[in-house]
Amino acid sequence: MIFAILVQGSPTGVASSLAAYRFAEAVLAGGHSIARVFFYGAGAAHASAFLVPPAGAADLPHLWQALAAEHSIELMACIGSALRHGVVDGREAARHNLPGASMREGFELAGLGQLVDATLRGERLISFGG
Amino acid sequence: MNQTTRVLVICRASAAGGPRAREAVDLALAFGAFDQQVSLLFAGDGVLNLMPGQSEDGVRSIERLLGALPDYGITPLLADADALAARGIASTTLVPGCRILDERAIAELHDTHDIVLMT
Repeated sequence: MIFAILVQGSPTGVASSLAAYRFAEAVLAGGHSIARVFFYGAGAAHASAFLVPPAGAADLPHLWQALAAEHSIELMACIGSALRHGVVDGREAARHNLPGASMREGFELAGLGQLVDATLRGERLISFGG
Repeated sequence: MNQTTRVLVICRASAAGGPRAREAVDLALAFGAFDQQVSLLFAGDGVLNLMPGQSEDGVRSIERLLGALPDYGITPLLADADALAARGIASTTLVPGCRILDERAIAELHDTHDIVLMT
């Protein structure tokens, strides 16, 4: 089965965000595939390269980055949400005259159309948080 | 899912309390723009977004955004009767184009949609 995953919770201190990652691991361990993970709202902060989780807490941005690299999963953050959370790639940084990019490698910015596309391509959309 | 997907978006937050109300409407608009069949239900504090004439001081009301929904086939706006009652909001005071649903109708709504998304 093909899954699309929507993550709406912050990468720190929100149980649903850790659940989303563990669900993704279970999906892959079960022999299924993930079309795309879309980070929306507060979830867009997962795409930040400058986020430091509290000591002892899971480093979800790093974990997603590693999982996506190993299994060729697309990690997409909603561009509107990302801008509101200080997450910009080089292009957005230049466009908004910001001092530099803050996006983590392995993530990309995308419009909501990419969530719709993943939903229509995937067999199941599973939403976490919200 | 080759044919039209029926998407139910549930907005449970007030626009005055943060971005989640707008995020719900944006989700509904995105699926509507891709010609999917979208229903938008306001529940919990989300029903507060259906009261017209809200101040925009400091926060952006989503009233104008709601006006764009019929252009995407998202009409009527659905409101949870219990949430309205709990907040003392009379159905006659809502923005035009709302339909009030009781608990049973909301349960049916879940049954008749392929995807349910909440913010």
